[in-house]
Amino acid sequence: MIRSETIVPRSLADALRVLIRRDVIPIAGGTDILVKLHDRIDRPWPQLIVLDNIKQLKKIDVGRGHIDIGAMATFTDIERSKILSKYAMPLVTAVSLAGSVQIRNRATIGGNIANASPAGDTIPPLFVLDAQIELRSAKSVRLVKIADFFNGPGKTILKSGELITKIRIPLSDYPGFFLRLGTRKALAISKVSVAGRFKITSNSIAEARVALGAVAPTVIRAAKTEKFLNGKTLDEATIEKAAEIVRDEARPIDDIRSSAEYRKNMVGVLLKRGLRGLMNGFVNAD
Amino acid sequence: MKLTFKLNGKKTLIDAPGNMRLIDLLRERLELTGTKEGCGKGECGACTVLLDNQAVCSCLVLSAQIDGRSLITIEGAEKMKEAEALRTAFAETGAIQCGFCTPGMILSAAALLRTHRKLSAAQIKRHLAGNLCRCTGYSKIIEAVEAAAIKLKNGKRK
Amino acid sequence: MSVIGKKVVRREASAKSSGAGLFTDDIKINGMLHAAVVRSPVARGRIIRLESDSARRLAGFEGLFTYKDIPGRNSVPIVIDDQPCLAENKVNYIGEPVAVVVARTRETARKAAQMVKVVCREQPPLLDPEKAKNHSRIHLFGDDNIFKHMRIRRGDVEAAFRDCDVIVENEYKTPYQEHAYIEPQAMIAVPNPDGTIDISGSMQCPFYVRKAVTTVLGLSDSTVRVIQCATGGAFGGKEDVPSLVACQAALPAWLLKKPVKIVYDRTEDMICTSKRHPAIVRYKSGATKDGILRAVEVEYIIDGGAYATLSTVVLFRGTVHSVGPYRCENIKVDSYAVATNKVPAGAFRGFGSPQVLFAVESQMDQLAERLGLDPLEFRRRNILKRNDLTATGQKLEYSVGLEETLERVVQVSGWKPGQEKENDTGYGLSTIFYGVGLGAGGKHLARTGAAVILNADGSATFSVGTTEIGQGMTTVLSQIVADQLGIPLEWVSMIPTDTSRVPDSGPTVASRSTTMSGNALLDACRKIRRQLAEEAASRLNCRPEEITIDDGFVRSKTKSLPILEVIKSCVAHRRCLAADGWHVSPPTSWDDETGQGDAYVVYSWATNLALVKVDRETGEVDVRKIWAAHDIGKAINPALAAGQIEGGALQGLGYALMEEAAVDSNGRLLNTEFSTYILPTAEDQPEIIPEIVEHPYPDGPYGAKGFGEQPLMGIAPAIANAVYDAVGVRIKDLPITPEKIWRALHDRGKSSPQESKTGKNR
Repeated sequence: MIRSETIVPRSLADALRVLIRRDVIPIAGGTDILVKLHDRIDRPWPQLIVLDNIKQLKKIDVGRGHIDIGAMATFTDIERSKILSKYAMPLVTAVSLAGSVQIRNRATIGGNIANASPAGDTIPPLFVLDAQIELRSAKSVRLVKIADFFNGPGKTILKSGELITKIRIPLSDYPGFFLRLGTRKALAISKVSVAGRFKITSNSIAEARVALGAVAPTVIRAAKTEKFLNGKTLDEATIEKAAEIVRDEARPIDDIRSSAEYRKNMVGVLLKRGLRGLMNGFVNAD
Repeated sequence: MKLTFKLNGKKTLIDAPGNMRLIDLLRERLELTGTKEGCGKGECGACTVLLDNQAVCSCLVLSAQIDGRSLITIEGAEKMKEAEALRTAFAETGAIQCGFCTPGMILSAAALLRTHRKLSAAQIKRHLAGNLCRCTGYSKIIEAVEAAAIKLKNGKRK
Repeated sequence: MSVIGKKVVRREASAKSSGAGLFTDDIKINGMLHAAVVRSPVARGRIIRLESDSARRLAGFEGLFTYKDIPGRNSVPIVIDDQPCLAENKVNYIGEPVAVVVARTRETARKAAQMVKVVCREQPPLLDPEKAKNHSRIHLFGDDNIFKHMRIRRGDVEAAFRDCDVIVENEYKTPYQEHAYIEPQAMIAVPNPDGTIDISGSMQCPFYVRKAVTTVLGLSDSTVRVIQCATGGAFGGKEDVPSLVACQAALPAWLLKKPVKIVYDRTEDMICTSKRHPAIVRYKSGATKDGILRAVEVEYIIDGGAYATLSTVVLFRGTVHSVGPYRCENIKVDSYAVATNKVPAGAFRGFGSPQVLFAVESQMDQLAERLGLDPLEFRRRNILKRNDLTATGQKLEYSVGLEETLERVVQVSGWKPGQEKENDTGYGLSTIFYGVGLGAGGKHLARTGAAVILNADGSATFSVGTTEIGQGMTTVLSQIVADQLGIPLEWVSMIPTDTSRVPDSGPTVASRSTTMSGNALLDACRKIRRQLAEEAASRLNCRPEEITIDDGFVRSKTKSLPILEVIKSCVAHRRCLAADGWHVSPPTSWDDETGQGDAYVVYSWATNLALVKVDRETGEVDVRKIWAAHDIGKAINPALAAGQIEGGALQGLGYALMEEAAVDSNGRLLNTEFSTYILPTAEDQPEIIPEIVEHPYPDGPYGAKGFGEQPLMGIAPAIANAVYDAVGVRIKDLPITPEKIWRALHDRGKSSPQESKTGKNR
């Protein structure tokens, strides 16, 4: 079969220029898109734009008050980044638990976001880290909050001609966690995941961030749980109550991996574990 | 498109469609059939090769993505001391049964041994989780990787 | 020093680890075409027509073949002759083969196959075996949809239950288990100019493949030659299925007179090939307060899917094993293999026994608890020992090592029932057995051939009719030949299994390769040894009967000659140093009405102990250790034997905890790839401690008996029993998912804590 030729731009400008065309799809690590294309053998493949050779998209840089992660940074790059271990531990934990070594060596943060799966492992951490995403086209650039990026499973606000170019995380070393339940110990898709990050002053929570994965059409912030936790002292009673609230905030469905009821309850369990870890001084209760 | 890359240490030039999967490029065009296809979706690891010394599933890499890079397949294992040590250890411990997962398993482990000589069983398990084996139950594979690591470490000291 | 009992390195290790060893898909032939299969989109329906115009227009399209093109008979007979090679006017499961498309590339063939539309008038499918059984209107097989009904009648269960002090009654369910061999199904057919055809591929049973191809092409056995390629895992999944796959390559190859290769895509393989039978098992077990098992009543239903394939013999094994390895005088078993509109279920390591053994071992622990005994003591009182009678009335005269496996596990693990243990951890025991070989259910196939050639330079080649599927048969049989002929192992090589080399030797199943092919090789080697002995006797001036051959020397009572010298002398005197061997199993028997008889020639035995920790909040089970002791008669290669135990145990762990393939209300399989069909990874692997016990089998080579399937069979109940020991929850349907444990704990929290702890009280 003749497939349309792949485009391999050498610079971001080149990539954005070809991206204007309608029938092209950018491919990052390919660990999601090539799986999808494998099953649609009876239809022609779209023309793919390979981004591997654009060096600036792979950088992880510290800027003034923030870190910029290039969209093509792989999960392995993130796992090994010292600066991210210091400022974005929930994200580092999430990528280290995702897929296998082979997948982590290819999968990119930009690709994981663009794929917009409610179970996408980098997304809940990015929610609690207040990440912003840079979307660039040949003509424009905009920075959007991660929470504003998703419209539904596989659906985003990305316009045609736009590319995710970087992820910006404000510098802060508030403690946080990422916890998940998978179908087995490794190489699993999350049944549920919970990310949290907390500004703690004099033993009480000044600001709470909780995000939930795989329990709604997109990753969601647990606003009621956060509101409840704000201003509370971190103790067993608070933790139990928070778990109760977060269970009701989750809106999961029954699927092949587990039932909605189980998922709701597990969100509570994971939040409890994360908060207990925090209370006991573990930054990441993995 | 014209591709230039290092294959098992040798500069290689080939004209191939950029969106041909790397596994097909290897098996069909370069006749390197040691790389096996078990699922085509990056879930079994049988097609593992080393791309710039990192383990990747060759079913999830496009030819266009290897241009200018370095590739090691099982056929190039003899030039990589970690892979050679693993081949011996796999045979001696009984880590091979049907053998279909073996080339990918050895390359995954070789990538680990390149950077680590001292390994716990837990580290080995975590590293090999992307390579499914349905025959061995992994016990003897883990033993073999431990044995190869010790041999490499001792070899270095001498 | 003999090589028997030594951990010698697998013969093909180097070829497999270098990537140089060729599996089917690695073979390329000039002018070879590629086939792909057009399959039924519905679970039950009438085929109205095929629409293939757009597929035919693809560049590289070479042909489309339907049942109308079959020159022989449209049938792939396995046990009962009910399965067509390609569907004619009706389809009975999603994925049933309807047509074969051939093209110049694999990609085109697969694309074309997807583009061919099978237009059907859809009919409601039968998916539930209990509803399908005796269905009044829809008849998939016979007039009751029952492939086979089997019985065991022994003693008087009703009277015995009246005398029991404790009765436990439960229903258990087990799901499909997918073989998930890492190499998908693959086959190549090459027609020859002389009117013969060669079939090579990934398979367990070359003689089954030959039967299928000769039937479909209308050829004689001598025209079709089947050669096994290196086979990337099988586990039963390449027992009957390759017969279909081979026909899908052979039909177009024969008609187009060109080589044709077919390789299944993983998803196609998962949707369209056999799996372990889903089962419903109902048990009533009774004991008296002295702790003795008195009566067992069983109803066992297996879901066979759309065609009979191996279901009748799977049912045979399941029925024989349905009481477990226990003495019991009063038994009533009724078992059924039922037809439904699903992919035909088939052979999978254990062959109908893992389902019942999960149930039996769960029952035994519940009986023990109700009797106030620990699981170990209950088993000590009831397990089968030498000279006991089995459920089928077979007297166990030799090679009964179950008790030793039980005591070995206790000793090695240091476990004592009721000992202090960490919170939420638990130990679970299972004692199981396995009838070696085909037994009375397949005795017409219980024979094997072998051929050995001892060359002038001292090297030897041999052929057998069974296959290397990763289990290590090549190595074990090479050890036997080397030992018999007194030559180094390195001088022995096995020829890939080939139907033109030896007579029909039956299938490579039922853990039979070592015993059957081993015995056939002993027979062949005996004939060659006779020649060597006669030659040596004439040179050493003694009688041939006084000669022994071992370890490179041929010896009389007083003198010896190097083996090579004797071989050269034989060659000089034009003696024939080649021989065929043949082995026929000892007799077995079976009475259909009572289910009594000597079901198998010998049994292997095993005890498993699992240590688990359960996470009460999530329901997750962490299996920490599995001790597994197996009586295998004699370990000809202990390393390979340990490999079987470890690998089987992890497949068993998968069956226990995570592996499940479900079908939706339209009969469509939901778990069609490795991201949704969950297999254990290296990280899921517990520490497995294999132990080998050797109670020799007098009719086995060096006392060996088969056991390759057994390592999987007792793991699920050991884990289920351990979970109960840990948190008091008994899960009766596999797999034991975190959610099921969580739900049981959660529900128990709501009601009284005692309720979920035990089965129904009397």
